[in-house]
Amino acid sequence: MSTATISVSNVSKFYGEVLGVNRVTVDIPPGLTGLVGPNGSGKSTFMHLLCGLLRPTQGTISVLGVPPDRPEELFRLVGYCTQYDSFPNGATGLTFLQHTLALHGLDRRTADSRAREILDQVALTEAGGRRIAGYSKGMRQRIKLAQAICHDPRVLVLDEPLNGLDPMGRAEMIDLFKKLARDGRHVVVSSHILHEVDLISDRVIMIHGGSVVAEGEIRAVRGEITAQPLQVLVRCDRPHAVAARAFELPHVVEARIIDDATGVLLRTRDARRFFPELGRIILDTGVEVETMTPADENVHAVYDYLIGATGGGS
Amino acid sequence: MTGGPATGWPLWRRQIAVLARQEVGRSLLGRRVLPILLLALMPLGIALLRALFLPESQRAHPGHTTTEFAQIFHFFLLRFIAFFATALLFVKLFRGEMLERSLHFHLLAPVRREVLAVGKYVGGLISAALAMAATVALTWVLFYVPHGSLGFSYIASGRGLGELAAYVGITVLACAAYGALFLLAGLFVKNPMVPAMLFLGWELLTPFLPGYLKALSIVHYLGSLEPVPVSQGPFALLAQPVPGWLAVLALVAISLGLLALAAWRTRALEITYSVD
Amino acid sequence: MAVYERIWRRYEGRLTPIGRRWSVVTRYALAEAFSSRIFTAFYVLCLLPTLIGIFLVYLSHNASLLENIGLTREFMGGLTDIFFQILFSWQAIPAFFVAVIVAPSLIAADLANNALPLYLSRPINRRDYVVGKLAVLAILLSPITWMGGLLVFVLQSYLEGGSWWRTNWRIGAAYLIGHVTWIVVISLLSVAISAWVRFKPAARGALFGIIFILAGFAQAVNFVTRSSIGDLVHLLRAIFNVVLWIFGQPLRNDLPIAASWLTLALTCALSLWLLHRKLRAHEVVE
Repeated sequence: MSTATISVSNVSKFYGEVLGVNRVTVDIPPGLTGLVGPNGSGKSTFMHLLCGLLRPTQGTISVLGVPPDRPEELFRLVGYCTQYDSFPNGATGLTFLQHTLALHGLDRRTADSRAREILDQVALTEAGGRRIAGYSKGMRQRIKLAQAICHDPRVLVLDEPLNGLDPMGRAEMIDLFKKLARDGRHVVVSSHILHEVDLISDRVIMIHGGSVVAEGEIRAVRGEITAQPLQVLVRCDRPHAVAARAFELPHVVEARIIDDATGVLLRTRDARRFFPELGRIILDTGVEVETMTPADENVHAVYDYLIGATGGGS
Repeated sequence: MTGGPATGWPLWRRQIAVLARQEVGRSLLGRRVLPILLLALMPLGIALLRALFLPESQRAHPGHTTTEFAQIFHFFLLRFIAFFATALLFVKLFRGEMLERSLHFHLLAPVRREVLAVGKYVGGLISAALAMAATVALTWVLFYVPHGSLGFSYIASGRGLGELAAYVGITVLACAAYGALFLLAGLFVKNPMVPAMLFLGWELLTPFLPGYLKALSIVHYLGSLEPVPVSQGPFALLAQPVPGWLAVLALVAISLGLLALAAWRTRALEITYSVD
Repeated sequence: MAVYERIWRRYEGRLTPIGRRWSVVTRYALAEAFSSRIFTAFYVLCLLPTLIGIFLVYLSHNASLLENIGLTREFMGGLTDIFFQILFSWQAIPAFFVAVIVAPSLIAADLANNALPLYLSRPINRRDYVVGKLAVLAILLSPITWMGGLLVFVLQSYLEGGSWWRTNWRIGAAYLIGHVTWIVVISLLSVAISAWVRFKPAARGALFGIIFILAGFAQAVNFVTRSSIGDLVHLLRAIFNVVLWIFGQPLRNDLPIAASWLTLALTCALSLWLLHRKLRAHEVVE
C-alpha cells in the first residue's frame, strides 16, 4: 500500500442489515479533499472507517500505509475532528488538550505548553481554563479542532468542522485548512455548505446512499457529466442580443436572461463548438462582454446533477 | 511532533499512568465521588451507631467486637458496599463514557486498545481500593474506639494490625476481582447492571451451593481469607476452606483473566453512539 | 380543475384542556413502554398473581371442583389473612420490577438527550411533566396491584356472602391503601432516581442498589445496635409494616407504626426534592 495516499479499497460497512457504505474505492492524495453528500449518505461512516472507530465489514483501508486497526501508529499520523458535540465530564479546554497530548507520550510540561499554543491558534486562550460544558457552540467546535491538530498530524479528517463558527471563525479555519493542505498534508473535510467546499477543496468526493458517485477535481467531474448541458454565464451590456443569436445555434438548448438583466445564462450540449461560435456572435453583435464563466463547474451544480432533485444517479 | 518515548513499555507505562490519573481524578475528585461517598459513609455510620448504643457492660470487653466486625465486613461491607462501589466505578469506565458520548476521544489517541483497557482498569482499581480500604480501615478502628484504652491497645497490637491488614487486603482483592468483572460487563453488555444484579444474586446464594459451585464465586475466595471465620447460617453447605495462598492466587487470576478478556474486547470496540 | 394554494394555517381544532396537558406526556410514554414486546409479555405475566388469586378464591368455594382434585374446604382453611398477605407480596414484587423497567426510560432519556427544554418550552410546566410521568407508573401498576387485589377481595366477599366483607374490611383497605402507598413511593423514588442518574442502565442499577443496600444497611444497624432502629431506612420493611398494620397483624419490628409512615413520607419528600433540583429547563455550568 502506498505511504503517500489514503487508500480505501472495496470497503463496505453494514450496521446489521442497514448498509452504511457500499463498495467504496477511493485514493485520497495530499491536499484538501471535500467530502460531500446529503444527510445519511455515509460521510461520517466513511470517516469513522478511515479512523478505525468502525471496522469495515469488507475491504481494506490504509492511511499512509497504516491500517486503522493499529491506533498506536495511526493516530500519530491522523487527527480526527468528529461530529459529536459531547466532551468528557468536567474537562476544561486546557486539561482536555493536555490529556490528549499526554497520551501522545509528551511529558507534563511539554504537553502544557503545546496545549496553550494550540489554544492560541484556535483563539481560545481566554477560555482555556473554563469548562467545555460552558462553551458556546463555536467554542466547542474550536476545541474539537484543537484536539485534532494539537499533535501536528499529517492527515486531518474533519467532520463538518465549520459548524457553529461565525463568519470570521469560518474564514480563519478555512485559511488554516488551506495552509495545512499547502504543507503537503491530507485534509479531508466534510460539509453541507457546498459553496465553502467549492472554495476550499482541490478535489471532491461525493457520496450518496453509501456509494461514491463522483470523485476528483470538480472541473473534471463536471466534464464527465455529459447528460447535463454545460451552463455558461455571459455578463454583457446587451444580453438579449446574445440570447437571440445563441438560440440560432442547434446545440444551444436554453438561453435565460438573468434577473438583473446584466447577463444571459446559456446551456449547450456541445462545449467544443459552443465557445468558438459564441465568440463569433460577440464579434458580430459588437456586445461588450464583462465576464464569461462556466456556471455549473462547482460543487453545488455537480451535487444537484448527481445527487439532488434534478439528477440522482446520472 | 517530537517528544516522549516512541514505543514499547516506556510509552505504555506512561500512557497507563496518564489514563489512570485521569480516572482517579474523575472518580474521586469530581461529582462522581458522591455515590461512593454515600456508600462509604454507611459502614462508618454503622460503627458510630454501634459506639452510641453499645451497652456499658460490653465496653470493657472488646472480645466480641472482633466477631461483630467480621459479620459486618462479610455480610455488608464486602457483599454490598464493595460490590456496588466497584460496580459504580468500573461500569462507568467504558459504558459510562459510551453513554456520555465521549469515549471516542480515547480511541482517537495513539494508544493501543489493550493499554487503554489496562489504564482505565488501573485508574478504577486505585479509586475503588483507596475509597474502600479507607472505609474498611476507619470502620474497623471505630469498632474498637468505644472500648477505650483496651480498644486502642488492641488496634496497636500485632494481632490487631494483622487483622486490619487482612481486611484491607481482602478489600483490595475484592475491588480487583469485582472491578475486572464490571469492566468486562460494561464492554459486553448494553445494560451491565442486569448481569451485575444476577451475579449479586449468585454471590448471595453461594453459602447454600455445593463446593464445586462455590468455586465459581468471588466471595468464596474472599471469605477464605478472612481472619475471623463467619457463620453462614444453619442452612449453609459447608465446604473445605480454600488455603490463603490459593485464594489470593485465584482472585489475582480471576482479575487478570477478566482484564485480559476486557482488553481483547476493547480491540473490537466500535463507536456507534445511539439512544438507549 | 382547481388550483390549491399550499400555505400554513393555524390549527383550529380542539385543544387538550390546560389542566389535562400532562396526559399527553403520559400517553406517549405509555406507548413507548408498550412498544417493547418483551415488556408487554412481562406485563401480562404480572397479572398472573391476580389470576391465581381469583382461581384460588373460586376453588375454595367450589365443592365439586375441590372434591375432584381431592381437597376439602377445611383443607383450604378458608381464605384467611395469610392468603391475602401472601397475595399482596406476589403483586407488589412484580410491580417493583415493572417500575424498575419502565421508570428509568421516563426521565433519564429526556435528560440525556436534552429533551427537557423542548418539553418545558411548550405550554406545560414541570409539575405537569412530573405528573404525566408519574401517571404512567400509576396506570401500569394499578391493574396488577390494588385493582387486581380488590377484585379478588370483592369476589371472595360475593362468594362468602353475608357480612364477610364487613368482618374483613381490613383486607380490602390493606389492598387499597397498601398498594396505593407502594405505588406512590416506588413511583416517586424511581422517577427521582431516573432524573438524578440520567442514564437508563445506571438508573436501574441505582434503584436496585438503593433498595437492597438500604435493606442490608438496616439489618447491619439492627445487628450492631441490638434494636430495630435500622428499619427506619428499610423501605421494604416499612411498606410491609404498613400493610400488616392495616391487616391488624403484629408488626415485624418493635418500632411504632408512625416510624414506618415516617420512612415512607421521607422517601417521598426526598424524591420530590430531587425532582425539583434536577428537572430544570436550563443548566448552570460553573
